[in-house]
Amino acid sequence: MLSISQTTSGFYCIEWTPTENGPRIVNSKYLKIYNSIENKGVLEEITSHFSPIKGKDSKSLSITLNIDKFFISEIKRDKNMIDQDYIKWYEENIINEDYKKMYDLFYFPLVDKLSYIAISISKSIKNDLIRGSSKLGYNLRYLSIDIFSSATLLKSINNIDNFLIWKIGKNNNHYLLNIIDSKISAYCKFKKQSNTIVEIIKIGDNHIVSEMHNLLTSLLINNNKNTSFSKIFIYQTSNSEKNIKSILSSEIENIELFNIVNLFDSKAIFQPIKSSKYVENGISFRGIDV
Amino acid sequence: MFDVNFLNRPGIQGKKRFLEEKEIDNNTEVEKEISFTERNNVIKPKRKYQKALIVFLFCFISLIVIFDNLKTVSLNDNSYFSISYILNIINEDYDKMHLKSIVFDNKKVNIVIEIHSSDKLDEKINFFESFNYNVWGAKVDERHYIYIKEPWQLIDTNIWDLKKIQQYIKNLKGIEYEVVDEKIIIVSDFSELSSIFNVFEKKNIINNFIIDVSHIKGNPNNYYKLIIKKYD
Repeated sequence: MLSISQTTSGFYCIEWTPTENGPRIVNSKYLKIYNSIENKGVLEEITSHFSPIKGKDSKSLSITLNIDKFFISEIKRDKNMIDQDYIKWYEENIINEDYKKMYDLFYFPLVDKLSYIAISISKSIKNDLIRGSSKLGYNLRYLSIDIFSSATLLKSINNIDNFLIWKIGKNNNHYLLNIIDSKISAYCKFKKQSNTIVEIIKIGDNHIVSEMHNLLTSLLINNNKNTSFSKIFIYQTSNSEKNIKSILSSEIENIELFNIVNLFDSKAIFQPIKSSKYVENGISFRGIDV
Repeated sequence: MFDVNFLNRPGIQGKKRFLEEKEIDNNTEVEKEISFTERNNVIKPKRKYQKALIVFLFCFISLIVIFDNLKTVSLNDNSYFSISYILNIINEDYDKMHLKSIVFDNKKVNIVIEIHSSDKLDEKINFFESFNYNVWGAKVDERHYIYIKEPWQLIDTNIWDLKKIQQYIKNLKGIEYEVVDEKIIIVSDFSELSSIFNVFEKKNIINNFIIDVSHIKGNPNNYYKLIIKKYD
């Protein structure tokens, strides 16, 4: 399986194969390509780095896109209405016809069962990727979105149902996703601006959102070690490792690096922080006992 | 565990539902590549009056659209959305319909009314539609509901805060309230609820607060729980 993860810093690609000891990453590459993957020639250029796999049995492909390519919002369902009825009504009455023509809408129920995180993907991007993969002889199996894809892998590796993933992005952006009982309870994007933490996107349980805000304020502004989350996994895809090293050096009990160094083939020597940059390929391991 | 895979069928996610190959073909609208020879061998139909017909149809459709838009704009101008007005309508037919909930957020207000018969449901849908409200009816477990969803915008202002509201409610005769975590929680009957909304609208402060009304189940006197929270 070839898996490509698009980030603001370029593409993190892995090629893994099933073995007796579970899946093993046999090839990995970081490609400094800043054009978007759906643009003409980009997918071809990326896959050309993995040419040996062509002609072999596995031509499965997984693509994880950067979250900035999606519209994300929260919808609160009327508790008196059935899910399907509500979404039908919502799409018929609230969503603009032109929008529906241009985007596919996906609704993921939040843990409270009364709200959804609604994610829209451009049909044109999706179609370009399906068509492009097919032309290159690949079978596109997964098309996912960054931090949500890494959550799939985290769940598979650690076999846990409750956790918080914290992604350190570029330009002081921080993305947090909290999972309770294997369901999304909150997703937020924050930005650190001088001595404050600003909420950019907040979806889900207000209490959790507030706890996320407190976590960032405590660690990044006040240099405290207090956190109410019991398990926090942190990773980053940007090239600078200053922030993540600083947080990890605080040795806070509940925070650990989300690293996948054990998944790499023994021949590949990887630093744990470097390995964590590949975690957004997680969806490609879906359903596999890692 | 949820899986975010956009190759699944759009809509509510939860079950693993992959698109069949045929569906991908239909939905993705992949343009079939037509060879140069095929393009040049296409037999074109006769188009004697086609252009004139297209122009005529275009003009006709444009006229209809313009007329319809004018009508809509004029109706919108005349329509006025008021929650206390809706509560009055419910009160007039209180034996046949009753309020279930009112929920606000920064985008819309959502009102759910239970109607006792399907005939009344049709009648009330037509009635609210005549005001250009976004209204929809549903039958759920042998019960009939009307859903009204209107655009709503919350406005942050310091003119009225919770303390002032609290003081004001004290003066409204017989209304019981509690203040918990910067929220005012009121248990009221329908007529008190109408009075509160009436006051909020008259004082023009209805957009300054997040208000959540829900019917308290299992009480013979039709009490409602009203939560008022400052928007900031």
